[in-house]
Amino acid sequence: MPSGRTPKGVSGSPDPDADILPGLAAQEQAALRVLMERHLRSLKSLAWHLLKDDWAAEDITQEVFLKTWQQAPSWETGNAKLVTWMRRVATNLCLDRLRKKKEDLPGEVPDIADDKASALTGLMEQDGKSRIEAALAALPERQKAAVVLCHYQECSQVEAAEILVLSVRAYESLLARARRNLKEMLADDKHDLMSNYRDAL
Amino acid sequence: MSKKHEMSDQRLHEIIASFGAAPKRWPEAERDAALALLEQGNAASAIDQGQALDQLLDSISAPAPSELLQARILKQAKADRLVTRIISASTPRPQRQNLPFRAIAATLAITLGVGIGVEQFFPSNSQSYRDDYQLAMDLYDEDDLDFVEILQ
Repeated sequence: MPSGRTPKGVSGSPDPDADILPGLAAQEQAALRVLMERHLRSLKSLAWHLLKDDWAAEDITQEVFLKTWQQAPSWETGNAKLVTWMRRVATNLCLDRLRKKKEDLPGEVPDIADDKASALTGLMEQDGKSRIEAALAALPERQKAAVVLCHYQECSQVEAAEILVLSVRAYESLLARARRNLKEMLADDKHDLMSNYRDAL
Repeated sequence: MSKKHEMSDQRLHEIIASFGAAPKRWPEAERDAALALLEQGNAASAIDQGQALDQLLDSISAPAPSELLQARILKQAKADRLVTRIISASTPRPQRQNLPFRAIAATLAITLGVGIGVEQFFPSNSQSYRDDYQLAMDLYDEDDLDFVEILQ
């Protein structure tokens, strides 16, 4: 756990992983297998949507599961749900990696304004799916994280706000800005993309 | 159990703008009220726009985890557990198991400390003991001689 503690103050609903917490605390590999069956795909997806790099996403996913394994004996039940904590760790690791990438490659990774401009240029040149990917990539990191948590992870408002360490209101505002930015970037070719998408269906 | 929320057109538009067109992503506490207002035909245009973006986002899907990923995690978890066991085996046992030994050691230390302290406070005792001893030996010698003389 980055902070070394379990996050507090989530919704009062029971932890869906409560049945395997004792096994994880006892360091039973069978419990770890069940945990992976439940959340490996979802956490890999979270990391991949944020990083857009398969190798890095698997690296982050592995790190999240190992951190969970190491922390399991001291896990405090009754605070956060285990999967919420895992998503929070994954999100923080991805955001750290994105920041570090920017620091390491200042010349190659433009700032947000330039990023948006290049993304818009890219939108004109690429196919539909790539255009949306480019638009997502052009979003500021935390806006992108908000979209990923809401749309792809289908986190509740409260859970996503907790993962991003925001108030519920601030999270909603962040999400609204993110979707507005995406719409602006896609506005020029949205109708073409949508008709192509529907044809494909 | 759930609290009934007031829903306005403005709030419904805000929800769609933030969370998209799919009610499953809307705030749970406001979902029913928002759907009820939506059924009245409000915000149809906002829903269309929200759906358009949602569908574009849906077209991006993450690749499945590789077959190796799960094996790598299990392998590293196993190694981690082994390291933890080695470390715990090479470090002192938990305090609870050392309690009797610690109690005995503490008692001995206190007794010794008190003894030394007493000795420090009453240093003349040892000298007087030596004097008494010497006097006793002297008397013994004299008595012993007297005894011999009487026998003779």
